[in-house]
Amino acid sequence: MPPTSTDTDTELFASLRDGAPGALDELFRRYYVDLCRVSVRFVADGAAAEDIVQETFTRLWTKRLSLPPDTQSVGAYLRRAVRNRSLNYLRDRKRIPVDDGELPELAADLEQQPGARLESAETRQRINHAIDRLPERCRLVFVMSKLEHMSHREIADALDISVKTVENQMTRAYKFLREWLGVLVLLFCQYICLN
Amino acid sequence: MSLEQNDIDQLVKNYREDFTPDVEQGLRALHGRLTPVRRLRPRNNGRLYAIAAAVLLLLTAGYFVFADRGLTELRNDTGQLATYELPDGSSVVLQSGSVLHYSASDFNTAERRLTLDGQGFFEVAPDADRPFTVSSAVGSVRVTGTAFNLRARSSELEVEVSEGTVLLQHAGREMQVKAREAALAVDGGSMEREEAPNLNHHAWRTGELRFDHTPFEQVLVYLNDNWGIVCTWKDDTTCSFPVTSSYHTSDARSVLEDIAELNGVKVRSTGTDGKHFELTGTCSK
Repeated sequence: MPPTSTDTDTELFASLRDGAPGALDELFRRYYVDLCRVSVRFVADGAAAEDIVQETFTRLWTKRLSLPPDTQSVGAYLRRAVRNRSLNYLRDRKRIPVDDGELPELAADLEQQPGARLESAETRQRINHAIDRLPERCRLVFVMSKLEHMSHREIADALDISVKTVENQMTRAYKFLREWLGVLVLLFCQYICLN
Repeated sequence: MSLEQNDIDQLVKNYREDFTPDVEQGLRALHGRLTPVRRLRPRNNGRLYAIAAAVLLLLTAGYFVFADRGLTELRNDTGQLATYELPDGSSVVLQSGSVLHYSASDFNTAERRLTLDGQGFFEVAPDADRPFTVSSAVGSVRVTGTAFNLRARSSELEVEVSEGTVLLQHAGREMQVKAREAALAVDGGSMEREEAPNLNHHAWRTGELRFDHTPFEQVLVYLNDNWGIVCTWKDDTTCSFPVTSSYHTSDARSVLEDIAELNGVKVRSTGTDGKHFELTGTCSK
């Protein structure tokens, strides 16, 4: 039976193991955008992120016979694959940070904040910008912890640093973001309350 | 007013959520990747086999200095690919039958000038102070540090860039050609640029050909540009169809026969050099 859009992820995954190309397409359509977002948070490059996700699906297809049977959590499986591939991408390009880096000066940035009311798209831009301004090690640790929900142990292993360093970087990230995003909070209250 | 940790956790969930790639475009790219790569066995006869040996030989043969004109000549007559190191640290892979000249005394002083007749792949050592210029009868290509393929025949000059940017100069005009673009200058003044995502003009050296809905006419052009394969249609009846497949081979004849067979076109060898073919098509697929 050809895969349909009403199949569950687990059914699609089983069809994929049986070699149904339609199952690959359906999974791709369901997860592509989310997985690209996972990757771009690591590699900070949209084209590279798309490349990584497409490559993940290519591997999914070529390795379909050795996929785990009865996968209940397909989303988590794909997400983990994309995460690992993104980290390998950074590692291959020597982009895994080797030191803690410096936090940027706040004063200069704050002056650029307009007093006007912020649109939500603009607010997102500002959140992107704030996190992007973190030193790279700090940024990666924060993304892995807060957006990828990885444990401190997992993060430490992935970046080849100690758990203590992970904790320090989290403290640093919060301190910076608290100040940087603080100016948004009044404007943002409405947004949060609506969501 | 200060943010609580929870507030920050809420806010940062938006990080990069505005990145929304085109799913259908991504899916097409995925399908392109899944196209099976055909690996053809090189045939054991025919002169093309010489090229199929994709062994790069670092040659000192074919290296002559003409003292009277002060020109160094790099000439590859080996029937195989040959890699040469230039005095500035750049390197060039010359196709058999190609010749490169440069001044023994002036090269790499104020600039790096060469002339090419044939086909070569250049990897240019970066040096912004000494531009690297390859000329032919038709025009020239000027760079400071990059990698590109250059095909220089008597009436056309074609460049396909794999890294960086080059400047194609022809008939008093200039055109910038970026990575994964190709440009062709034809004697008489025309200069055209096109996308070259698959770098198919590098195939004589890399053995990689990738067609993605490429018209058959264009496939024939690639086979001609890379290996001098000449095809003519019997009775002027031509067939056109899109070709989607990838090859890793230097056996151009097998590529031609493979594509032809899949699309109901008959191929007959004419002549004895293994490079001339007559095509007969019913165009029924």
